[in-house]
Amino acid sequence: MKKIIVLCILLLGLITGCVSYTELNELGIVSALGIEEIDQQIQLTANFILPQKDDGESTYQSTCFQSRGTTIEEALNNLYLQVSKKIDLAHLELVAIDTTIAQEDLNKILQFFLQEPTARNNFPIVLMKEVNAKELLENENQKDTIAHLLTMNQIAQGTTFSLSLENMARQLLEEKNTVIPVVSSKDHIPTTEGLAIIQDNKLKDYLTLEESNAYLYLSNQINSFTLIPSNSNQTSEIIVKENHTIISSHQNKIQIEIQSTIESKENNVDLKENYEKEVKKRIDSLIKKTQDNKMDLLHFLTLIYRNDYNFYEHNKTNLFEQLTYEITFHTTIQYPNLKTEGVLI
Amino acid sequence: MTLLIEKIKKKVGSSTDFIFREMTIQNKTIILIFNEVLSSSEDINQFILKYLANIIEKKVEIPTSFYHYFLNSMPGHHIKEIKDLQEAIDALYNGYTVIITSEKEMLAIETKANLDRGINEANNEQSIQGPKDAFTENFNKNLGLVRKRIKSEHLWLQEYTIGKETKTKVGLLYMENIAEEETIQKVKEELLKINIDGIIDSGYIKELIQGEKPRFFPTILATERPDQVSMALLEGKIAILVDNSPYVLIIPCFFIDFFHTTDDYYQKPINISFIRIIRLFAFFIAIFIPGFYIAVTTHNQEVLSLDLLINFSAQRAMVPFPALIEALLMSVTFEILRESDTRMPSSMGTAVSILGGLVLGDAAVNAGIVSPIMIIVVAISAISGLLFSSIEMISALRWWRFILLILATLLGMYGIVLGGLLLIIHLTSLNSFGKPYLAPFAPFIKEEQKDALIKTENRGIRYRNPYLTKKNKIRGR
Repeated sequence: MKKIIVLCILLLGLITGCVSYTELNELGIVSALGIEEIDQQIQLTANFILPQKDDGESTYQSTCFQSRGTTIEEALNNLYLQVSKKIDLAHLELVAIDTTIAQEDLNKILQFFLQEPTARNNFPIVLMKEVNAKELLENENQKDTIAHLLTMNQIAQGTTFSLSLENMARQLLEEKNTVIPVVSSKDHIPTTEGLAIIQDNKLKDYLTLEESNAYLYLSNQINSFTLIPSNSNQTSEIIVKENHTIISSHQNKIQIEIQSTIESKENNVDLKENYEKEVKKRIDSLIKKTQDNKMDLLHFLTLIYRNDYNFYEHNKTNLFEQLTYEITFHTTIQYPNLKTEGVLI
Repeated sequence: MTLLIEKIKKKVGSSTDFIFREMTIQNKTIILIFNEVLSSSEDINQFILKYLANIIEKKVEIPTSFYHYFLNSMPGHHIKEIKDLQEAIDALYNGYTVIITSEKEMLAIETKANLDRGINEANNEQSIQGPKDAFTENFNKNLGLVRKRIKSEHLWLQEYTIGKETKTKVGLLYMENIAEEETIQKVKEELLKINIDGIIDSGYIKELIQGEKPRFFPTILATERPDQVSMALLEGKIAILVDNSPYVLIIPCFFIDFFHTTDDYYQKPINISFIRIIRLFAFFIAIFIPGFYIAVTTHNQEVLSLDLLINFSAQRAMVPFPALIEALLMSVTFEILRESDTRMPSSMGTAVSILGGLVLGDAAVNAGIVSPIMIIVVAISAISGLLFSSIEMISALRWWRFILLILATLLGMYGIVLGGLLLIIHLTSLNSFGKPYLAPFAPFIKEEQKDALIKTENRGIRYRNPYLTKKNKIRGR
C-alpha cells in the first residue's frame, strides 16, 4: 500500500506542474508594447530585450517585432510564433496605445492586462498621437526616453505625468473617467502633447497643454515646475516652487483655493498678478471644456455628494453644467536675487 | 588445572598473544594468563610478578590458601574473583591478568594496557573560549572527564555490556535528582533490547535505539565535548558512554540543541543571540536558496527586477543544461570535494583544494558548463550548511536541499511553499524519546524562550525545561 502511495505521489510530481517551466534562455522579455488597430485587426509592436554577454559583462540588445491578430491574445500567439520564445509581459516598462483603439474601446486592453496573471500593471500607459508604434519604440532606448520624458515634464513644465495602467483602470472603474498622457514624435524624438480625456473607456477629447497644466494643478499632481505664460516670451517664465490646491464645495458652488510659492528671476511688480491671471485662465478653459462636454473630470459632483448629499439628491439633474466656481489665490513670492544685509543703527 | 588450561587454550583458539606463565611457589604451581596486547606488561611486572617473586625469594609463609592470600594482599586496585571459565575469558579480553591457583579457584587483577591516544582537543567541535579537552576511546577516562566536572553524589552510572562478540561496555549516566525516571527507563529498555554481535562505536547504539520511524534529522546528539555532556546532565538529560568511542550520546535532544554550542554559555548573551539568529538564517539559506533560485528563474521570473533578469539571462545564455541539472551538478561536485577533503591524506590537501577551486570556479564557468550565479548559490548554500557541527544535521540539510530543488523545478514558488510545509510537518512529527522535537517552540514553553533562540543573562535562566524534568525544575536563584 505504501509503495502505491509513493508511486502516485511520484507520478503526480511528474505529470503536474512543469507547465509554467521556462528556462531563462527561452524567455522573450518584452520591455515595451505598442497596441494599434489597423484594418480591423490588432497590431502589436513589441520591443524585446535580448540579454547577452559581452567581454564578461552582462548587456542586452533590443529588437522590435510586430504581429497581428483579431484579438490581443491572437496577436501575442503570432508574436510567439515569430520569436519562438515565451512572451514575458511581467517586465513591461511602457505600453503605448493608438487613438483608434482608444476611440473604440479601451476595455479590451484593460481586461487583457488585468486578467494576465504575470503582468504587473504598474507600467506607464500612453496614447500615441500622429505616430505609429514602430516609430515610437524601435529605438532601443525609446521606452526609457518616454518614461523619463513624462517624469521630467511633470517636474519641469507640469503638462503631463506618468500614469500606470492599474491607476487608470482604478479611476475608470470608480470615476468612469480619467486622463491619459499623450506622446508624439518629431524627427524620431518623442515629445509629450499634454493629456487626453478618457470617458467610459473611450477617448473623448484632448486637452491643450495649458488645460493639461490646469488639470494637474487641480488634482495636486504637480508641486514645483516652470510656468511659461502662453502670450509671453521666455524671460517672463515663472518658477512655481510649491503648490497646493484645496477644493471645497458649498451647494452648487465650487471653491478652489490655490496656495503657491513662486519665484522670478526678474523683479517684476506684476508677477503675482500675471501668475494668478494665467492660472485662472487655464482653469477657466479646462472647466469650460469639461462642462461643455459634460465630463466631470475633476470629480466636483463627487465632492458635492460627499459634502451635501441632500442638495445633490435634489438637484443632480444637470447639476454639473450649472456649477459655478470661485478661485482664490494665496501666492507668496520669493526673490532669490534679493540680498539681505544688516542695518546700521 | 591442566584441563582448565586446555579449555582456556581451546576457547582462545591458541592465539599466540595469550601468555601462559607457570610459577611454582612453595611446591605449588600457579598459572598466570594474560593477553600481551591488552594487558600492560609494565603493570604485570611491577605489581604481579614482582610480588610473586618477592614471595618466592623471601620464602613468605602463606597461612591460608594462595587464592585467599592473593585476594587480600596482592597489590592492584581492582581484583575480582572468577567463578567460571567464561568469566575468565571475558576478564582476559578486558586486559585482566588471570591467576589460576587451583582447578576451581581463579582471580583476575586489572592490568589493562593504555591503548588510547590520550586526552586531546576536540576535532569537530572547536572551542573558542571554553575548555578544550575532548573525549577519547577510553571509557574510564571519558567518565573521569565528566565526573571531574560534576562532583555530585547524584551523578549515577549504570553499566551494560552490549554486543555478543565485542562485549562493549556501555554506561548510562544521569543525575538521579533531576532526570525523569520515565526517560531513564525508556533508554534502559532500548539498550537492553539491543541484540547484535558487536558495538564498534556509539554510532551503532544511536542507530539501534532511535527507533524505526524514518527521519532526516538526528534525535540523539553525539558530542566529543565533556563540558557539553556535563551541561546536558545538569539540564536533566541522559548521557550514554560507549567504550572505544570518543562520542558520547545525549538523550533526549531537541531541534534547537543543534543551534547551540557550549561556547554560547561562555560569552556575552547579546553576542550569542546574534550568532544564533545567524545560525537560523544559515539553516534556511542552506535548504531554501538553491530551490528559490530555481523557482524564480524557471517559474516565477516576474519576481525578479528587469536588471536582475537581464543579468541572470546573460549569464545563463551559453549554458546548455537546464537549471536543475546545473544545480545538481554543482551540488554533487561540492559534495565530492567535501568528501575527498575528509578522506584524503593531509599532504595532498592543498593540491586538491586548489584543483577543486579551479574546477568549480573559473574553469567550469569559462567552459560554459555552469553559470557564475549558480556557483554562488550552491556555494552559499553548502557553506551555510557547514555551520553545524553535527554531521547528521549537515546530511539532513543536504537531503532537504535536494527535495526542495526538485519541488521548485516542478512547481516553482508553490513547490517551495509546499516543501516548507513538508519540512515543518516532518519536524513537528519527530520526537526524541517521547519529547517533542520542536520544543520549546512547538509546544511553546515561555520560560525556555530565554535560552532558545535569544539568550538572556545566565541569572535569568531559573528553570529547567519541563520536558526534561518534573522533579527538580529550579536551577538556581
